[in-house]
Amino acid sequence: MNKWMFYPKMAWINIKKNGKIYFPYILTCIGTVLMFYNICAIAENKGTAQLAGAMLVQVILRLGIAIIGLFAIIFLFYTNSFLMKRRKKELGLYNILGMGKRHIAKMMFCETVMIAFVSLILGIGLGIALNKLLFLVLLKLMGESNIPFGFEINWVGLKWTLILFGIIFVLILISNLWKIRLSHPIELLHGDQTGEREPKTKIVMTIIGILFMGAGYYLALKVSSPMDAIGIFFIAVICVIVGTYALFTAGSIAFLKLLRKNKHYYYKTNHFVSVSSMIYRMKQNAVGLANICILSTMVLVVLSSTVSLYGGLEDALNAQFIRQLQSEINMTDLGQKEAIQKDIQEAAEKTEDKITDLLSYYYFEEYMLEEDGHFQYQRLMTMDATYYIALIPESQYERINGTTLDLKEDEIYYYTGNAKKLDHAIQIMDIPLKVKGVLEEISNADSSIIAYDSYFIVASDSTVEQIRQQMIQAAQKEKGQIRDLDYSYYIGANVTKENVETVIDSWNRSLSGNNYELGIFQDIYTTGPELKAMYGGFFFLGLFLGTLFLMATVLIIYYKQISEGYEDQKRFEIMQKVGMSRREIKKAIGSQVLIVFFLPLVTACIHIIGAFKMISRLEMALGLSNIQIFVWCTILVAAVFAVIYALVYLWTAREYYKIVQAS
Amino acid sequence: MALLEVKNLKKIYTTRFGGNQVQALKNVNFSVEKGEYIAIMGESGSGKTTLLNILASLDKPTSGTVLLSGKNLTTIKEKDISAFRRDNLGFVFQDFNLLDTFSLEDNIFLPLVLSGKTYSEMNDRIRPLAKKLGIEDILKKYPYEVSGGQKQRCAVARALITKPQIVLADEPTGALDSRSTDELLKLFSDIHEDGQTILMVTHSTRAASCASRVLFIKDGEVFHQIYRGDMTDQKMYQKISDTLTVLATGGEPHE
Repeated sequence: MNKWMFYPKMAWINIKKNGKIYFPYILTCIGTVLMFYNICAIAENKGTAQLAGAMLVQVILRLGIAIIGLFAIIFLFYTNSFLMKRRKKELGLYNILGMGKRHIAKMMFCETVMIAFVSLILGIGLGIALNKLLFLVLLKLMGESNIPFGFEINWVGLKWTLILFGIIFVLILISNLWKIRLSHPIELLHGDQTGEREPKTKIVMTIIGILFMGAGYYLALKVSSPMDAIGIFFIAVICVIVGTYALFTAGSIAFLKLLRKNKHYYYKTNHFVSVSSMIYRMKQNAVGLANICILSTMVLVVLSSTVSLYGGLEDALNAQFIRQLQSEINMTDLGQKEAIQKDIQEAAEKTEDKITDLLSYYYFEEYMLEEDGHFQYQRLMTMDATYYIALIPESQYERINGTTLDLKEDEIYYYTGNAKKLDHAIQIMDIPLKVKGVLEEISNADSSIIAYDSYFIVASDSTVEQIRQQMIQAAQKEKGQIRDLDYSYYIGANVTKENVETVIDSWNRSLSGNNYELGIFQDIYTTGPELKAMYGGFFFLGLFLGTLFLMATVLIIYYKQISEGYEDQKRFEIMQKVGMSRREIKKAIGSQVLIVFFLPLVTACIHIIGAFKMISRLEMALGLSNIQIFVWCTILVAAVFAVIYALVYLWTAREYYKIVQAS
Repeated sequence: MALLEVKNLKKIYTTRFGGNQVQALKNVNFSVEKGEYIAIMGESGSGKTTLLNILASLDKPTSGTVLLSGKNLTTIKEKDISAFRRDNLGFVFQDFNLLDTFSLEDNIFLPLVLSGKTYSEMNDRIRPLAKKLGIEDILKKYPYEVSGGQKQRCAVARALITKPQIVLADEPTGALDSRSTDELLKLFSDIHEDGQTILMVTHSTRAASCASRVLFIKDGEVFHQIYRGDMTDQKMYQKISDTLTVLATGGEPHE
C-alpha cells in the first residue's frame, strides 16, 4: 500500500465501520450547511433587496443567519462529543496496538477533512440546487408575483458558509485531539464502561426548578396586555428554560427516589426494574431530554405563531382598516370641529366620483387605570388594570349611525369586545356615570385596538369634553410628562386601487395648511403587501427554523436510542439469566423508553398551553385579532409535530431493539 | 430417582451459512442425586460452558434430554422457561452479574420480585440468609461500592433466596483473589452441608477439591469421574491434579 494513502484509507474505513453513528452525523452536517448557506443566500440576494418591505425582511433573515450559525456550532459540537464517547474504545485499541498519539491524530485529521469535504460539497451543492426553490417559496409567501428566473450561486453566502463551517470543523478536530492527548490508552479502552454511581437527590436544585418553572408559568398566565407581554415574554421564557433543565435533571430523580421509598409500590414486578433503571436513565439523559423538550417547544411556538400570523393576515388588515383609505386629524380644541367638518366635506366633494362610504367623526382616546369601576388618570402603564378607553361623543355616534340615543349628561352606552362587563354605575375621573345600555356592535371601531382590554363609550358631548378637561388638569400636575390629550378626527373612505394615489394627493392638498394637524394617509393597498411581506418573512423563517430544530430533535433522539441500546445490552443479558423472560424485559424496557422519549413531547405541549395566553397577546400586538386562528394553528402544528416525533421514535426504537438483542 | 439426569446430550453449533459444524457436546451422560456437590472440570473448549448453559435452560441441545426432578427441560415452552428457571434454579456467575442500578439488597430481591412475592415475605427470607453469608451490613450498598468477594456472596444470596432445587455455578471463583476464593468455597461447603445441591463448573483444582464428586469433560464427553468418599481435601486435590495431568498429556486414566 502506498505510504501516503495509509491514513486516508484508515480514516475512510473507520467512518464506514462506524456508519451507524457517522452516517446521521454527516447527514446533520450536510443539513446544517445547506440551511446556513440558504438563509445567507436568500438574505443577501439582490432580489430580496428589491421586495416590498425589503428592509424588514432582510432584518428578519439576518436574525435567522445569527440563530442558525449559533445553533450549528452548538449542535455539531454536541453530536461530535457523542461520537467520540462511542469511539473511545476503538481509539484506545489502536493506541495499544502500536499507533502513537501522533498517528491517531493524523488519522483523525483525515477523518475530519473527509467529513468536512463531503458535508460542504454536498451541503452547498444541494443548497444551490434548493436555493431557487426556497426563494420561490419565500416570494410566494410574501405575495410577490413577478419572479426572476435563472440559477445563481450566491458568493457572499458561499464565503460565509465556508468560513463558519471551516472554523467549526477545525475546532471540533482540536477538541477531539485534546481529548485524546489527555487520556491513557487503558482509560480509552474502558471509556464507555466506567462504573456508574447512583445519582444523588439534589433537593435544592429541585426546589429551584419548581420555583423557576412556577415563576415562568405565573408570568405567562398573568400577563394581560400585549405591551406587557413583549417585556415579560423573555423573562418567562428564561424562567421556564431554567426550570425545565432543573426539573428534568434533579426533579425527575427526586421523584423516582420518592417512588422507590414506597416499599409497597416499588417491590412490584412492573415497577421494580422500571423505577430503578429510570433513575439511571434520567441521570444520563436528563440534559439531552431537556434539550429535546426546549427544541420541541421552540418548534411549536415558532411554527404555530408564524403560521397563525400569516393565516390571520386578512383579518388583521380588515380590523385595522375601517375604510380602505384613512387618516386622523389632531383636533386640539372643540371649536375647530365645524371648520374640520367643512374641509372634509369639500375634500370629499372634489373626489366624489372616486370614493364611496365616506366616514368622519371625532372621538377622544386614552389609556386609563381601572379600580372597582373607577377609571382614572394613570402615570404609567401597569400590568393588569390598564384599559383602552375610546370616548365617542353622542352627536358623532348619532351622525354616523343615524340613530338617536337620547343620553342624559350622566348616561352612557358602551361596547367591548374583550373586557369584562361594566357595573351599572361607574366613574370616569370625577364624574359618576350610569350605564344605559350595551351596544351590540360598533361599526366605526378600529378593532385592531381590541388587542387591549378596551371599552368604547358613547357619552353626551359635554361629558366627553368634561372628562378630557379633567385629564388635562391631571396631566399638568405631572412634571415632564407629555401627553396627547387632543381629540382625534377620523377621516376615511373606500377607494379603488387605481384611484388611491389621486385621492390621497387631492385630500392632502385640501386638508393641509390649516391650523390643525393632519396625519399621514394610510391605504390598505400599500399596507397590505407590506404586512404580507413582513409576515411572509416571519413565516418563512419559522418554517426554516422549525425544520432545523426538528432535524436536531430527530438526531438527538436517534443518538439517545443508540447509546441507550449499548448500555442496556448488558443489563438485558443479566436480567435474562436471573429469570426474566424476553417478553418481560422487552415490555419493561419498552415502557421506559416510551416514557423517556415522550416526556419531552408531553412537557413541550404543556409549555405551549402555558405560553398560549402570552403568545396570543403578543400576536395581538402584531395585529392578529382572530385568536381562533391561532388556536387551530397551534393544534395543527402540535399534531403534525407529534406524528413526526412518533415516526422518528418508531424508527429509532427498531434500531434500539436490534442493538439490545444482538447478544 | 436422581434430582438431575442428563442423557445422551449432544450439541452441534452450526456457523451461520451452514458451512462449518462444531460439535461442542458429543454424548454426555450423568446424573446428580439430591444433596450432591458436583464439580465439572475440563479445559477450555471442552464443552463445559455449553453443558452448563443447557442445564440452565439458556440453550437448547441438538439432541438428548435433561430431566430435573423428572421434568424434561428441553421441552418446556419458551414462555414458561423464565418462570421455571426462576423457581427451580439458582445461578452464580464468574463476573457476578449484579445489576449496577440496584442496591445489593434489591439485586437479591430481584428473582422474588419477578415471582410476585410480597415485600414482607422477601424481607423474612433475606434476614437469615444475609446473616449466614455475612452480608448484613452491606445490603444497602451498591455493587460498585463493595469488593469482588462481597459481590459474589450477594450473588450467592440471590441464587439461594428462591430456595432452588439446584444451584448452578459457572467459575464462581474465577474473578476472586485467593482469600475471597477460600471464603466462597467455605460458604459453598456450608450450604452443601445444609442439604443444597450444587453443580459447579470450574477450572480451579482448589475449587473442585471441595466437591463431593468431580466430573471431567474432554472433547464433549464425560471422560472420568472421582468420588470423594472419605478423602480429605488434600488427598482430593492430589487426585484431581493427577487426573488433569493425565487428561492433558493424553494418556488413559489409571483407574
